[in-house]
Amino acid sequence: MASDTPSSAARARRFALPSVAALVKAACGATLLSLVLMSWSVLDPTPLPVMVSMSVGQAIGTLALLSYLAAVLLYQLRVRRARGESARPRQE
Amino acid sequence: MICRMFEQLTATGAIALACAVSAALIVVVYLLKRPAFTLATQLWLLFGLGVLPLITAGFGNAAGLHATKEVRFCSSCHVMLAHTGDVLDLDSQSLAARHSRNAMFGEQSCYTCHADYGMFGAVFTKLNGMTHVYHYLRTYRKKTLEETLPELHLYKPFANANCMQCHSTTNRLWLNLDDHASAVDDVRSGKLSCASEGCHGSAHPFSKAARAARDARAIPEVP
Repeated sequence: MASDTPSSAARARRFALPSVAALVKAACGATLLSLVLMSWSVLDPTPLPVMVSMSVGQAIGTLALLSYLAAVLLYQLRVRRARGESARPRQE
Repeated sequence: MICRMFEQLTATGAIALACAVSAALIVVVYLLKRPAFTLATQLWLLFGLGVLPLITAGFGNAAGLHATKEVRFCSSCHVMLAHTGDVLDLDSQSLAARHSRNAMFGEQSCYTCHADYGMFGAVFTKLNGMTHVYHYLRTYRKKTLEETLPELHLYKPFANANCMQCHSTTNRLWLNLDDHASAVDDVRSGKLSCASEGCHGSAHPFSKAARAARDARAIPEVP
């Protein structure tokens, strides 16, 4: 079958979904960065920090949240798939 | 410097900062301990990565937008130092300085006079503020205050509607003045500016004087 060829396997690896742990780690890093940017504008309310906080800071924070939600979704899908596979009767 | 940062902290800013610290604590504890990804962990992380940062953003926005109204925000660009210095000078008798000493204007006197009033006034004022930042970064950032002072000007003539927020032009005392009574229609329609020469004059007269001096230098002497 075509799916068994080395090229398609490599392609599948390339487009494989990231791991849940990697997504959560990325979300944590991005959130910390966005929190620093948002706090900067509160402590130093001058034009540059305020603009950076309201644009870059919040964009990074939104991406971090989306990344975390994707991680949770991925985790739930994998858990369900694992449960389905373990419940399926084995064929000899 | 750190003390000065905390001195100007507002209540909304303090809430934003508290939420940011709490969220950061949750995230850092997760990164250090790396517990199993159970439902409890997911909920804690939802607080640290979602709920608390959203509250931080909301209160941070409120604090930031409030800060943009303050005189010290305007004076953070060096080209505004002459204007804000005059406004805060207790000895100055300029129109802007006299109004700034009024408690109704307080520390937001720049915004009170220069904001666009109306339904979307605040939005348009903020957008204009972004244009100021663009012009500052593009043109004025590297110029000295003396160089920029003659060049600074309003995008459009100062609207009497801003003055009429307080001076409604309907008060009998106001109308009893002959100059007001004779020009009331022109003032209300905006044909005659309150801040024109012959009436109350420029709110920031030193900027007009700087422009006049520059123009005088530009005119070549007749032999």
